[in-house]
Amino acid sequence: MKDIYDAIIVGSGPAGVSAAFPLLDHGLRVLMIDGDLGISSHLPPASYSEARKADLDQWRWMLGSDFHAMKARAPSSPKFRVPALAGVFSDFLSENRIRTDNFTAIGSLAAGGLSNAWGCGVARFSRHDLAAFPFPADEMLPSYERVTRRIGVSGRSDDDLSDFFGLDDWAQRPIALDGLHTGILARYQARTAKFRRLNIRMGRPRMAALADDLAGRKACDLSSNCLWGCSRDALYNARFDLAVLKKNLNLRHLGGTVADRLVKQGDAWTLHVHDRRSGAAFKVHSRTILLAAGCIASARFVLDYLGLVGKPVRFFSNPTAAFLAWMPRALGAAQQDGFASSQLAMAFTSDQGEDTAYAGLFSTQGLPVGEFLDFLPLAKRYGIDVMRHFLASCVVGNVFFPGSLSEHQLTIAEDGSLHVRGQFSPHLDAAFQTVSRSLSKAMWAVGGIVPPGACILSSPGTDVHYAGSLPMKARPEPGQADAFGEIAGMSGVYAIDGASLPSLPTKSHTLTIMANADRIARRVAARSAATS
Amino acid sequence: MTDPAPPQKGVIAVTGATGYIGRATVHAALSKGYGVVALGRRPPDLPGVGFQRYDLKDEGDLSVAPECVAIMHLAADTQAGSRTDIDSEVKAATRVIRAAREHGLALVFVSSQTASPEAATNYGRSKWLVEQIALEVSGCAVRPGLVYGGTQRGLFGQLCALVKSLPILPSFLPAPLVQPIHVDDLATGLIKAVEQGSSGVIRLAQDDPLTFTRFLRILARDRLRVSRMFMPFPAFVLSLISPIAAAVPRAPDLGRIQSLYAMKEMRTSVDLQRLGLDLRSLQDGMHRSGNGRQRRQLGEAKVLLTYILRQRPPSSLLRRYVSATNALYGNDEPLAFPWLVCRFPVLITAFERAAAKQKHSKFKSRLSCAILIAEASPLGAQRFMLSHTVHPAMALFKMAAAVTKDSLVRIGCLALARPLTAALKASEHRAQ
Repeated sequence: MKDIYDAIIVGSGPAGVSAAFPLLDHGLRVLMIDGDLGISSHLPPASYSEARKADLDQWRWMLGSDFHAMKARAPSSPKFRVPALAGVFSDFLSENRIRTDNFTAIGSLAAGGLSNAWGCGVARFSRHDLAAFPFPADEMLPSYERVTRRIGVSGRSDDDLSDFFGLDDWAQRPIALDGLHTGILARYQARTAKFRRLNIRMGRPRMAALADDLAGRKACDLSSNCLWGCSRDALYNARFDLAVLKKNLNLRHLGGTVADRLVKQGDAWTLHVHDRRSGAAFKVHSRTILLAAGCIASARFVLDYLGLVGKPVRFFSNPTAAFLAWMPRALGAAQQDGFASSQLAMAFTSDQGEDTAYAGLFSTQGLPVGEFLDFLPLAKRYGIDVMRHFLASCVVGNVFFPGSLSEHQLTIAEDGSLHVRGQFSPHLDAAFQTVSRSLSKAMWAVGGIVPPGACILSSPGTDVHYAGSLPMKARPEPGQADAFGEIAGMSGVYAIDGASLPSLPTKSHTLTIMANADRIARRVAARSAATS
Repeated sequence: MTDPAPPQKGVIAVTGATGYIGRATVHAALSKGYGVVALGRRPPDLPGVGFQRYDLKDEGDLSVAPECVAIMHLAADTQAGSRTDIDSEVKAATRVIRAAREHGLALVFVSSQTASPEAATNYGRSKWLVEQIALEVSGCAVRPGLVYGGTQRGLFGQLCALVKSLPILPSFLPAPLVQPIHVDDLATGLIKAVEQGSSGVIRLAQDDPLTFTRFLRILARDRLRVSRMFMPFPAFVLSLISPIAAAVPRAPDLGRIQSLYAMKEMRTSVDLQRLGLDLRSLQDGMHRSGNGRQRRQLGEAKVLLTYILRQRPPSSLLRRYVSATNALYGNDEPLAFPWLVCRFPVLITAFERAAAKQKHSKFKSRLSCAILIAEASPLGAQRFMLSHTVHPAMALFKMAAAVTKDSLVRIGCLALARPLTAALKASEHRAQ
C-alpha cells in the first residue's frame, strides 16, 4: 500500500524547518527528507585560546583525524577546511549531478543544511528590497517576527543600522564587542559627519547568535570558536528546530536520503529518492511537495520535470570580496577571545540612496594564522615572524554586493546533469572599485589601514548566497513560481528556499528565505485544511 | 602430506622453506598467487603452506604433487657451515633435480657467489658441483651476493650478532668486497626466475661492490642503531686463527667470513635487467621495515617542521606529518634534502625562493602541509601567536627584522638562482 503524506519537504535546512512548523501546527502529516549520514564531529574542548594553548589533540578539530583541512587546501574560505563541517558540504555536487564552470557550487545534504556553516547574519528586507516580490511587503511581517523569535536574534541596538536590519522589536541585546571593535565603533561615532559623506553607516550586525539563553540553547560565552563549532549551540542551526519538530508524531524524518526526480501520477506527486549509503532507490508520495534543497538543487527537479533541457535559467548570488585592515594602535596586542563571527556591520549606499554593499568586520582570533601566510611575499618562516606580531592588530571583513551584479546560469542537460556557469556582471568591477575606495577611507577614519592588495574580489559562487532560480513572479512562466511559490505547470510543487526569491539585495537573505517558507507553508496548510 | 592453500598459478615445491631465504621465498610465492609445498623434515610453521616429508639424507624417488609447476632447492646443511659434507649435499640435490626432470618441472637452485671448482670452502665447491647437475637438466642456478635484511638469520644473523656483541669491530685489511642483496629482493628474483622459465647461472646482487667494512658500518648504523669503532685487522691473522676456531664447537664461523675473500666480483646488471628486478638501496634495505621510506619521511618532516617552528619538533608532530603526507600523497617519494639543509633547516628559505615562481611545486605543497601540522599544536600556538602583549615598538622591530632577513635571503639567492633550482629539483626527484 502506498503511503500518501500531506506534504513532503525536500531538505531540512532553514527553509525546510521553517515550513514544517506551520504544516504540523495545522495537523498535516509531513515527510521531511535530507541526506544526513549522522557524522559526529570533534569540537574544541575549551575556548579557542585555551584549547590552542593546552589541547594536545587540537589537530583533530583544526585539521581533522583524516587531515580534511589539508585535503581541502585549495578552496578560498577557511570554512571549507573545518573538519567539523566536512560532512556538511560533502558529496553535494556528485549526489545532485552538478557540473560547474567558473563557479564554486556549495550545498549541503546534511540535516540543518547550510545553517551548519553559516555566518549567522540576519536582516529583514525593506519595502524597497521587496519591490520585486509579487505581493505586498507587509505580508512578510508576521513571518519575519515568528522566525526571528524562534531562532533567537541578538544585536538590538539604537544605532545607525537599526532600520537597515529592521529586527530590533524582536531581538536580544547585542553580544559583547572585543577591544579592537569597541575602539572602531567609538571612532565611528565620533566621526559621523565623515561617514555620512562616504555614504557608510556602521553598527552592530543583527545575528542569529544568542546573547541570552533561549529554549535550551546557551548564550555566547565569547570563546572564539564560531568557525570550529559552538559547543553551546549559541549559533542558530536548523538542526535545533529539526530536533523540536521530530517530537511531533506527524513528522517523519528520513535521513540519508537524496531526492532524484519528481513524477506526477494522477493528482499526486511521486518523489523518486535513493538511500545515500546503500544506493537503494524507492519512492514516496504526496499531493504537496515543498522544495527546500537549496537554490541550485531545488531547480533541478523543476527543470527536469518540465523538460527544459538546454534552456539556461538565470540565478543570483552576492559577489563578495574579502579584506584585511590593520589597526596600528593595537600593534603588539595579544589575541583576545570573543565573538568570532561578524562583530560590526557596514552598509554602503550610493548618492541616490541605493544599497551598494554590505560588509561585516571580524576579529582574526579563531582563524589559523597559516590562512594569511600566502598573502605575504615573504619566506614562510619570516612570514610567521611577521604575522605573530601583526595579525592580532588586524580585523578582517567580507563585503557583499547586490545579486543584480551576478549573471549566473543553470542549465539541465539531456542526461539530467545540471550545469552551473558563473559570471559576474560587467558593472561589478566599477562597483568593487568604488566600494573598496570608500572602504579604505572608512577604515582610515577609524584609525585603520587597508594595505595595498588586501581587498580582493572572490571568485563566483564562494559567497554561497544563491537565489532566484525559481523566482516568484506575478505572472510566472513555466519554471517560475507564483506569489506563493507554486511552480507554474507543476501544481502542488512549491519552491520555498532561496530559489524562490525574485531579487537579492546586499543584506543577508537567510531570514527572508525562512520567513518566506513560513508564509508559503501557512498558505499551503490553510488550503489543505480547507479541501479536507 | 597436507594440502596447500588453493593455488591460482600452480604449486611450487620448496626445500629449505623455513630457512632465512626460504621464508622470504615462500612469502613472495604466496603473494604472487602460487601455492607452496614445503619439502622438509617436519611440517613448517608457515600458514597456508602444504607439507611433504623430505630429508637431505633420504634416498629413492621424490614424489611430486600433480599441480606442481616448479621445484626450488634452497636447503643446505647450514649447521655444518663452511665444513659442508660435499657428498651428502650433492646426493640430496641430485634427488631433487631428478624429480624435476622426470616431472618436467622448472628448477631453481640457490647456489652461492662462492661457487667455483676451486672454492676455498667445501660449501663453495659443493654449490659448484650441484650447479653443474642442475644446468644439465636446463635448470637455473641463482648465485646471490651477500644476503641481508629481514629477520636476523643466516650469515646476516651472524653478522648482526657479531656487531651487537663487539664494541670494536675489525676492519679487515685488505678489505673484502661484498655485493649485497636484500632477502626479499632475492625472493622476488627467484619467483621471477620460475615465471620466466630461466635457465643457466643467474647472478643476483647489487652491481657495485662495497667494502665489507662499509657494509658493517651501515648494518650497525641503520639496522642496529649502534655506533661502533673499527680497528684495522690484518686479514692473514684470520687465516691463522680460523682452523683453530673451527675446531672449537660454537665458535663463530670464521670460515664464512674468510670465504668472502674467495668471492669473485660478479657483473649482475645484465641478469637483474633480464629478470626485471629493481634492487632497493642498502640503506633502505637495512632498515627494519625493509625500506627506508618512513625514515626519509621523518627526515623531511624534521627539516620542514624545524624550519617552521624554529625549534626541534616533538616526535608526535613528526609522526603526524608523516601520516598526513601518507593520507595526501600516498606512496609519493619524500623530499630528499641535501645534507647541509638537514643540518641547517633555515636554508629552506633559499628553496622557497627557488620554488617561488613554480605553479605546481611538490616542495611548496609539502611546506604548506608542514605549516598546517605545525600550527595545530600547542607548540604551534606559541610560535604563531603572541601569548602576551608586547610593546608596539618591539613588535615593529621584530617585524622589521623578519623582513630584513627575508631581503638578505633574496639578495643571497639572486646569485645562486641556478644551483638552487638544481638542488630543489634534485630533492624533489631523487633517483632511487
